[in-house]
Amino acid sequence: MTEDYQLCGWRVRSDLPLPELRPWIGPADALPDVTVIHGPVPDRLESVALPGTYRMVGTDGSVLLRIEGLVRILVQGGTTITVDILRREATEAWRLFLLGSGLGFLCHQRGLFPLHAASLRIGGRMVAVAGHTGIGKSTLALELTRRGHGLLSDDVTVLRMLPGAGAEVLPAFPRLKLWRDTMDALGVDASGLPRVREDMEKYDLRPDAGFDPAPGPLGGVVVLREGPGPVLSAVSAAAAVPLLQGFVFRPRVALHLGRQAGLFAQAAAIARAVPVYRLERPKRFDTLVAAAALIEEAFPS
Amino acid sequence: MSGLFWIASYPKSGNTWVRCLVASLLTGAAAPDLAALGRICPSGSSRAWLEEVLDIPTEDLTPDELARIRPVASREWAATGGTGPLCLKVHDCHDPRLFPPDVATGAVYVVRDPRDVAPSWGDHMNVSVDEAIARMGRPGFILGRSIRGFRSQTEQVMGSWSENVTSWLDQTAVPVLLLRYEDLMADPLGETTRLAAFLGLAAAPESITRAVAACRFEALQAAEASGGFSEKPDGMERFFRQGRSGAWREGLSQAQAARVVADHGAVLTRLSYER
Repeated sequence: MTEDYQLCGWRVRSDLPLPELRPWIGPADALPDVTVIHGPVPDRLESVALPGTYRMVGTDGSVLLRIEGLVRILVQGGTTITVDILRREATEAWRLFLLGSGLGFLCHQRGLFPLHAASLRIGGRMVAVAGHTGIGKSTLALELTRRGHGLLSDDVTVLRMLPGAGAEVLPAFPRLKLWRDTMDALGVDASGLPRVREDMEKYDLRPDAGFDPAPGPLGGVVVLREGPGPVLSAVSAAAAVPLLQGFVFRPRVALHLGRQAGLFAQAAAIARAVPVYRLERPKRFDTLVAAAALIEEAFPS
Repeated sequence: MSGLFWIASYPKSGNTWVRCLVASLLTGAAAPDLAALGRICPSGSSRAWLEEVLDIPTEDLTPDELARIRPVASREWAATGGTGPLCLKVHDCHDPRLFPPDVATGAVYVVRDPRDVAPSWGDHMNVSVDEAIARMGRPGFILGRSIRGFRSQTEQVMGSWSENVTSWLDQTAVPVLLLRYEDLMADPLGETTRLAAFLGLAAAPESITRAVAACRFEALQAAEASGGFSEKPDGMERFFRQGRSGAWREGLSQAQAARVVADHGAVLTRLSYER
């Protein structure tokens, strides 16, 4: 039994239920762009270009992700993802890796620019909030959704270059993964919410009220960094190029897929087309409201 | 010599000092760049390092899964080779599952009088000295276990202070160089020469002298004051606090000092600390 979903504007045909995604509502006769197959995945690739215990890139450009005891995911040709679920958890944790790293590998194979960022619609513009793991992207995104801004994606913001100038955001799905400490600090009730993993008090929130799956032009990028503040400062286009490159999602795989020059050109095009800001703040919950307000000021309605 | 070395210790025992010395010796006796320390001599429990080496996300892995990927990261990092030694900082008790012997060339174990560790460790954890002493005496003590919030480090099974020391000194799988903080203070040149030799670094006496000077406590304190140190916990005033040995004589109450001796007497004797 297969279902058709939409993800980043693609028609995704899947053997496995993907409840994070909206059902496909595009043309009924459109061919699937991406196929998710539930089937066996080998433990390793036959011909390896980039070795690794848990992540391998094949000489044919396929990428294998192994999460030991949980799932193996093979991404091929930018179109086909095979998922071998090794252990069923009530939380269906394998989907975290399919819709995280798996999506990133797919983007690199398709020549897109996946940014390690959440994205939201703020003041009518699509804004990416980039940052390394643990810096507070999801926490800030939650605060922004509470202020009425629509969530477009959580951990990966997929960007496609527009002919001419700039890039467009391909909205993924509206989900935030939040730790219990964060929810308590922000007064969000965790009772009844599903956990992302059985053994962790990290919850799966679906703030989908403002989600719109239609692609739209990227309006700007905010890069989060720990520091004094909160303070928002504009980054020059020249400085923004390496900054954006530093937040490419799963960069080593991209490198081995021959994407280095392409990603540089794309980062340069994005930096030329939209404002890039650096938002520094101490990692404390009491600086969150001021940080969200600074983003709203930078992207007024 | 090449190969992987674990730079092991209980926290606040001089591990960072030794890492700075190693980093300096590896970079032509340069002044310590605290911002680069996590790259030159990373922490084996750092998520950022695990993600860098293994190229997988760790944010949705459970504590048990994180514990299982740590030895794999050591193995993959060791396999990257290089001409010089690779040094990995750890605070865990020795456990062959976490530290597979075939991966490493050796281990440097840094030890400091636990009575001097206690106030510094309490400050680091933002708890009282009494609580720090209690944790140092707790068998099987685990640092950083959290299922409710993000931690930049995985959990670390540190054990009690005595367990930590003996786990490394009593294992026979890899050769161990024992460095006492107090000896490093008293004879930095001699001890750093031993360190360089153990790591197989062909460092000339002049460069050892320069590395020692570059890593003087005041120099590390000044480097932190000017550029900060990312390994300093939030809320702690500074990472490099006192850099003294024997300060417990003024800082600890008699009862506190007696509690440490009662908890760790056998190991104090073994390491020639007065009782």
